Amino acid sequence: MTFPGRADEIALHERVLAGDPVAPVDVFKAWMDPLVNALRADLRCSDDEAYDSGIDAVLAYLEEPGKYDRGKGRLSSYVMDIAKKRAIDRLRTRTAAERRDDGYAAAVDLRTMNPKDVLEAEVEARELWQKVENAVPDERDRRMLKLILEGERSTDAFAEALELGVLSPLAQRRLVKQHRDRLMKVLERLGTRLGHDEDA
Amino acid sequence: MTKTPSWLDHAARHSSERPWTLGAVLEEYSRVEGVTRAETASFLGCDVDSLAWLSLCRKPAPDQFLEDVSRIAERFQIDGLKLAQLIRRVDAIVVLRRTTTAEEETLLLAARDRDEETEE
Repeated sequence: MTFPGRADEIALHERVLAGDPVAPVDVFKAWMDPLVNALRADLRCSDDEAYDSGIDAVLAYLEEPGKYDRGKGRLSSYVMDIAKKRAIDRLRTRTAAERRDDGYAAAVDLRTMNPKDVLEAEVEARELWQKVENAVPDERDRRMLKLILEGERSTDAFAEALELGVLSPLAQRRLVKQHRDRLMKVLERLGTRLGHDEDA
Repeated sequence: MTKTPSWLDHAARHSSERPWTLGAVLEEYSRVEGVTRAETASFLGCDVDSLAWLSLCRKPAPDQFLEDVSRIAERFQIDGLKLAQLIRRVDAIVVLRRTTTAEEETLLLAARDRDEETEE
Protein backbone atom coordinates (compact mmCIF):
# COMPACT_ATOMS: atom_id res chain seq x y z
CA MET A 1 0.00 0.00 0.00
CA THR A 2 2.48 2.57 -1.16
CA PHE A 3 2.13 5.44 -3.57
CA PRO A 4 2.87 4.63 -7.20
CA GLY A 5 6.37 5.30 -8.48
CA ARG A 6 7.27 8.58 -10.14
CA ALA A 7 6.88 7.28 -13.69
CA ASP A 8 3.51 5.70 -12.95
CA GLU A 9 2.14 8.78 -11.29
CA ILE A 10 3.26 10.99 -14.16
CA ALA A 11 1.59 8.63 -16.64
CA LEU A 12 -1.59 8.78 -14.56
CA HIS A 13 -1.36 12.56 -14.37
CA GLU A 14 -1.07 12.78 -18.16
CA ARG A 15 -4.23 10.70 -18.52
CA VAL A 16 -6.06 12.97 -16.09
CA LEU A 17 -4.91 16.06 -17.97
CA ALA A 18 -6.04 14.52 -21.26
CA GLY A 19 -9.53 14.07 -19.82
CA ASP A 20 -9.51 10.26 -19.85
CA PRO A 21 -12.93 9.52 -18.30
CA VAL A 22 -11.73 6.42 -16.43
CA ALA A 23 -8.46 7.92 -15.17
CA PRO A 24 -10.14 9.10 -11.92
CA VAL A 25 -10.93 5.48 -11.07
CA ASP A 26 -7.24 4.58 -11.38
CA VAL A 27 -6.24 7.64 -9.36
CA PHE A 28 -8.52 6.57 -6.53
CA LYS A 29 -7.19 3.02 -6.72
CA ALA A 30 -3.59 4.15 -6.68
CA TRP A 31 -3.77 6.75 -3.93
CA MET A 32 -6.60 6.15 -1.55
CA ASP A 33 -5.11 3.30 0.48
CA PRO A 34 -1.72 4.98 1.03
CA LEU A 35 -3.47 8.28 1.83
CA VAL A 36 -5.83 6.69 4.34
CA ASN A 37 -3.01 4.75 6.00
CA ALA A 38 -0.87 7.86 6.33
CA LEU A 39 -3.72 9.93 7.76
CA ARG A 40 -4.53 7.25 10.29
CA ALA A 41 -0.91 6.81 11.33
CA ASP A 42 0.30 10.44 11.27
CA LEU A 43 -2.78 12.31 12.44
CA ARG A 44 -4.65 9.56 14.27
CA CYS A 45 -7.71 10.16 12.16
CA SER A 46 -10.74 7.95 12.50
CA ASP A 47 -11.62 5.80 9.49
CA ASP A 48 -14.31 8.21 8.32
CA GLU A 49 -12.05 11.25 8.75
CA ALA A 50 -9.28 9.52 6.82
CA TYR A 51 -11.62 8.39 4.03
CA ASP A 52 -13.30 11.77 3.64
CA SER A 53 -10.03 13.72 3.76
CA GLY A 54 -8.37 11.40 1.24
CA ILE A 55 -11.38 11.59 -1.05
CA ASP A 56 -11.52 15.40 -0.75
CA ALA A 57 -7.86 15.58 -1.74
CA VAL A 58 -8.19 13.26 -4.72
CA LEU A 59 -11.29 15.07 -5.95
CA ALA A 60 -9.63 18.47 -5.49
CA TYR A 61 -6.72 17.28 -7.61
CA LEU A 62 -9.00 15.74 -10.26
CA GLU A 63 -11.10 18.88 -10.42
CA GLU A 64 -8.11 21.07 -11.24
CA PRO A 65 -5.21 18.82 -12.25
CA GLY A 66 -3.50 21.78 -13.92
CA LYS A 67 -2.81 23.27 -10.49
CA TYR A 68 -0.21 20.61 -9.81
CA ASP A 69 3.25 21.86 -10.75
CA ARG A 70 5.52 18.88 -11.30
CA GLY A 71 8.55 21.15 -10.87
CA LYS A 72 7.66 21.59 -7.20
CA GLY A 73 7.62 17.95 -6.16
CA ARG A 74 5.96 14.59 -6.48
CA LEU A 75 2.26 14.41 -7.28
CA SER A 76 1.77 12.03 -4.35
CA SER A 77 3.23 14.68 -2.00
CA TYR A 78 0.93 17.30 -3.52
CA VAL A 79 -2.17 15.16 -2.94
CA MET A 80 -0.93 14.10 0.50
CA ASP A 81 -0.55 17.75 1.52
CA ILE A 82 -4.12 18.50 0.50
CA ALA A 83 -5.37 15.42 2.36
CA LYS A 84 -3.52 16.38 5.55
CA LYS A 85 -4.88 19.93 5.45
CA ARG A 86 -8.41 18.61 5.06
CA ALA A 87 -7.84 16.10 7.85
CA ILE A 88 -6.49 18.80 10.19
CA ASP A 89 -9.59 20.90 9.46
CA ARG A 90 -11.76 17.92 10.34
CA LEU A 91 -9.81 17.21 13.52
CA ARG A 92 -10.10 20.86 14.57
CA THR A 93 -13.83 20.77 13.97
CA ARG A 94 -14.15 17.56 15.96
CA THR A 95 -12.03 18.94 18.82
CA ALA A 96 -14.03 22.16 18.90
CA ALA A 97 -17.28 20.18 18.98
CA GLU A 98 -15.96 18.05 21.83
CA ARG A 99 -14.92 21.17 23.73
CA ARG A 100 -18.36 22.65 23.20
CA ASP A 101 -19.91 19.44 24.52
CA ASP A 102 -17.60 19.49 27.55
CA GLY A 103 -18.42 23.14 28.16
CA TYR A 104 -22.08 22.41 27.89
CA ALA A 105 -21.80 19.54 30.34
CA ALA A 106 -19.86 21.74 32.76
CA ALA A 107 -22.48 24.47 32.45
CA VAL A 108 -25.20 21.97 33.24
CA ASP A 109 -23.31 20.83 36.34
CA LEU A 110 -22.88 24.42 37.50
CA ARG A 111 -26.56 25.06 37.03
CA THR A 112 -27.32 22.04 39.12
CA MET A 113 -25.30 23.54 41.91
CA ASN A 114 -26.97 26.91 41.44
CA PRO A 115 -30.73 26.40 41.75
CA LYS A 116 -31.65 29.86 40.45
CA ASP A 117 -30.04 29.13 37.11
CA VAL A 118 -31.73 25.79 36.76
CA LEU A 119 -35.10 27.33 36.11
CA GLU A 120 -33.72 29.11 33.07
CA ALA A 121 -32.58 25.90 31.44
CA GLU A 122 -35.28 25.60 28.84
CA VAL A 123 -33.24 23.37 26.62
CA GLU A 124 -32.66 20.80 29.28
CA ALA A 125 -36.27 21.06 30.30
CA ARG A 126 -37.45 20.07 26.84
CA GLU A 127 -35.11 17.11 26.72
CA LEU A 128 -36.15 16.04 30.16
CA TRP A 129 -39.79 16.32 29.40
CA GLN A 130 -39.95 13.06 27.51
CA LYS A 131 -38.54 11.20 30.49
CA VAL A 132 -40.73 13.19 32.83
CA GLU A 133 -43.88 12.20 30.99
CA ASN A 134 -43.02 8.57 31.58
CA ALA A 135 -42.12 9.08 35.23
CA VAL A 136 -44.99 11.42 36.10
CA PRO A 137 -48.20 9.92 34.77
CA ASP A 138 -50.58 12.33 36.53
CA GLU A 139 -51.58 15.24 34.30
CA ARG A 140 -51.85 17.67 37.25
CA ASP A 141 -48.35 16.82 38.41
CA ARG A 142 -47.08 17.36 34.89
CA ARG A 143 -48.78 20.76 34.73
CA MET A 144 -47.01 21.69 37.96
CA LEU A 145 -43.70 20.47 36.62
CA LYS A 146 -44.15 22.55 33.51
CA LEU A 147 -44.71 25.62 35.67
CA ILE A 148 -41.58 24.84 37.67
CA LEU A 149 -39.54 24.46 34.52
CA GLU A 150 -40.96 27.69 33.13
CA GLY A 151 -39.77 29.53 36.22
CA GLU A 152 -43.11 29.93 37.94
CA ARG A 153 -42.88 30.54 41.72
CA SER A 154 -46.39 31.51 42.65
CA THR A 155 -48.22 29.17 45.02
CA ASP A 156 -51.50 30.29 43.46
CA ALA A 157 -50.36 29.16 40.02
CA PHE A 158 -49.26 25.82 41.37
CA ALA A 159 -52.48 25.42 43.33
CA GLU A 160 -54.45 26.08 40.15
CA ALA A 161 -52.40 23.52 38.24
CA LEU A 162 -53.05 20.99 40.97
CA GLU A 163 -56.76 21.92 41.10
CA LEU A 164 -56.60 22.90 44.78
CA GLY A 165 -58.77 25.99 44.38
CA VAL A 166 -61.33 24.91 46.94
CA LEU A 167 -58.79 24.68 49.78
CA SER A 168 -57.67 27.43 52.12
CA PRO A 169 -54.48 29.36 51.22
CA LEU A 170 -52.62 27.67 54.06
CA ALA A 171 -53.68 24.18 52.94
CA GLN A 172 -52.85 25.08 49.35
CA ARG A 173 -49.35 26.19 50.35
CA ARG A 174 -48.78 22.99 52.33
CA LEU A 175 -50.03 20.72 49.57
CA VAL A 176 -48.13 22.61 46.90
CA LYS A 177 -44.94 22.17 48.89
CA GLN A 178 -45.62 18.46 49.35
CA HIS A 179 -46.27 18.00 45.63
CA ARG A 180 -43.22 19.99 44.77
CA ASP A 181 -40.97 18.00 47.08
CA ARG A 182 -42.32 14.77 45.68
CA LEU A 183 -41.84 15.90 42.11
CA MET A 184 -38.28 16.96 42.81
CA LYS A 185 -37.54 13.49 44.17
CA VAL A 186 -38.97 12.01 41.00
CA LEU A 187 -36.69 14.25 38.99
CA GLU A 188 -33.72 13.29 41.13
CA ARG A 189 -34.47 9.65 40.51
CA LEU A 190 -34.49 10.43 36.82
CA GLY A 191 -30.98 11.70 37.24
CA THR A 192 -31.88 15.22 36.27
CA ARG A 193 -30.70 16.74 39.55
CA LEU A 194 -32.96 19.64 38.97
CA GLY A 195 -32.86 22.07 41.83
CA HIS A 196 -35.50 24.56 42.74
CA ASP A 197 -36.26 27.62 44.74
CA GLU A 198 -38.52 27.50 47.69
CA ASP A 199 -41.94 29.09 47.27
CA ALA A 200 -42.14 32.68 48.22
CA MET B 1 -13.18 -5.43 -10.19
CA THR B 2 -11.53 -7.14 -7.25
CA LYS B 3 -12.22 -6.64 -3.53
CA THR B 4 -14.36 -3.60 -2.79
CA PRO B 5 -12.43 -1.08 -0.69
CA SER B 6 -14.13 0.26 2.42
CA TRP B 7 -13.83 3.86 1.19
CA LEU B 8 -15.64 3.25 -2.10
CA ASP B 9 -19.12 4.22 -0.90
CA HIS B 10 -17.75 7.44 0.60
CA ALA B 11 -15.94 8.22 -2.64
CA ALA B 12 -19.01 7.56 -4.77
CA ARG B 13 -21.11 9.78 -2.53
CA HIS B 14 -18.61 12.64 -2.58
CA SER B 15 -18.15 12.30 -6.33
CA SER B 16 -21.84 12.63 -6.96
CA GLU B 17 -21.64 16.12 -5.47
CA ARG B 18 -19.27 17.24 -8.24
CA PRO B 19 -20.99 18.13 -11.51
CA TRP B 20 -18.03 16.98 -13.61
CA THR B 21 -18.35 13.39 -12.48
CA LEU B 22 -20.45 10.59 -13.84
CA GLY B 23 -21.57 10.14 -10.25
CA ALA B 24 -23.49 13.42 -10.43
CA VAL B 25 -25.24 12.18 -13.58
CA LEU B 26 -26.10 8.81 -12.03
CA GLU B 27 -27.41 10.51 -8.90
CA GLU B 28 -29.58 12.87 -10.92
CA TYR B 29 -30.87 9.98 -13.03
CA SER B 30 -31.88 7.99 -9.94
CA ARG B 31 -33.57 11.06 -8.48
CA VAL B 32 -35.47 12.10 -11.59
CA GLU B 33 -36.53 8.59 -12.57
CA GLY B 34 -37.37 7.70 -8.99
CA VAL B 35 -35.26 4.56 -9.10
CA THR B 36 -32.82 3.06 -6.62
CA ARG B 37 -29.11 2.72 -7.32
CA ALA B 38 -29.64 -0.99 -7.68
CA GLU B 39 -32.22 -0.33 -10.39
CA THR B 40 -29.88 2.08 -12.14
CA ALA B 41 -27.15 -0.56 -11.99
CA SER B 42 -29.56 -3.12 -13.41
CA PHE B 43 -30.49 -0.75 -16.22
CA LEU B 44 -26.83 -0.43 -17.17
CA GLY B 45 -26.20 -4.14 -16.77
CA CYS B 46 -23.83 -4.03 -13.79
CA ASP B 47 -23.89 -4.52 -10.02
CA VAL B 48 -24.06 -1.80 -7.37
CA ASP B 49 -20.31 -1.96 -6.65
CA SER B 50 -19.55 -1.34 -10.30
CA LEU B 51 -21.98 1.56 -10.22
CA ALA B 52 -19.96 3.05 -7.33
CA TRP B 53 -16.77 2.74 -9.39
CA LEU B 54 -18.60 4.25 -12.36
CA SER B 55 -19.50 7.23 -10.17
CA LEU B 56 -15.82 8.10 -9.92
CA CYS B 57 -15.44 8.48 -13.69
CA ARG B 58 -15.28 11.83 -15.40
CA LYS B 59 -18.46 12.65 -17.25
CA PRO B 60 -17.96 12.16 -21.02
CA ALA B 61 -16.89 15.37 -22.71
CA PRO B 62 -19.40 16.74 -25.25
CA ASP B 63 -16.79 16.92 -28.02
CA GLN B 64 -15.76 13.27 -27.64
CA PHE B 65 -18.92 11.91 -26.17
CA LEU B 66 -19.15 8.56 -27.99
CA GLU B 67 -15.45 7.87 -27.55
CA ASP B 68 -15.63 8.54 -23.82
CA VAL B 69 -18.82 6.52 -23.39
CA SER B 70 -17.21 3.61 -25.24
CA ARG B 71 -14.14 3.77 -23.06
CA ILE B 72 -16.21 3.72 -19.87
CA ALA B 73 -18.47 0.95 -21.18
CA GLU B 74 -15.52 -1.16 -22.18
CA ARG B 75 -13.78 -0.72 -18.83
CA PHE B 76 -16.85 -1.66 -16.81
CA GLN B 77 -18.39 -4.10 -19.26
CA ILE B 78 -21.69 -2.26 -19.38
CA ASP B 79 -24.12 -1.39 -22.15
CA GLY B 80 -22.66 1.74 -23.79
CA LEU B 81 -25.89 2.62 -25.57
CA LYS B 82 -27.81 2.61 -22.32
CA LEU B 83 -25.13 4.70 -20.63
CA ALA B 84 -25.31 7.22 -23.49
CA GLN B 85 -29.10 7.25 -23.26
CA LEU B 86 -28.95 7.83 -19.50
CA ILE B 87 -26.47 10.71 -19.79
CA ARG B 88 -28.42 12.36 -22.62
CA ARG B 89 -31.61 12.16 -20.63
CA VAL B 90 -30.05 13.79 -17.59
CA ASP B 91 -28.38 16.44 -19.77
CA ALA B 92 -31.75 17.28 -21.28
CA ILE B 93 -33.36 17.57 -17.87
CA VAL B 94 -30.61 19.84 -16.62
CA VAL B 95 -30.92 22.10 -19.67
CA LEU B 96 -34.72 22.20 -19.39
CA ARG B 97 -34.51 22.98 -15.71
CA ARG B 98 -32.06 25.79 -16.35
CA THR B 99 -34.29 27.18 -19.12
CA THR B 100 -37.37 27.00 -16.96
CA THR B 101 -35.60 28.75 -14.10
CA ALA B 102 -34.37 31.48 -16.44
CA GLU B 103 -37.88 31.95 -17.85
CA GLU B 104 -39.37 32.15 -14.39
CA GLU B 105 -36.80 34.77 -13.41
CA THR B 106 -37.57 36.76 -16.57
CA LEU B 107 -41.29 36.59 -15.85
CA LEU B 108 -40.74 37.64 -12.25
CA LEU B 109 -38.59 40.58 -13.32
CA ALA B 110 -41.19 41.62 -15.90
CA ALA B 111 -43.93 41.40 -13.29
CA ARG B 112 -41.90 43.47 -10.85
CA ASP B 113 -41.23 46.13 -13.51
CA ARG B 114 -44.92 46.24 -14.32
CA ASP B 115 -45.82 46.66 -10.64
CA GLU B 116 -43.32 49.48 -10.25
CA GLU B 117 -44.70 51.25 -13.31
CA THR B 118 -48.22 50.94 -11.95
CA GLU B 119 -47.18 52.39 -8.60
CA GLU B 120 -45.63 55.40 -10.36
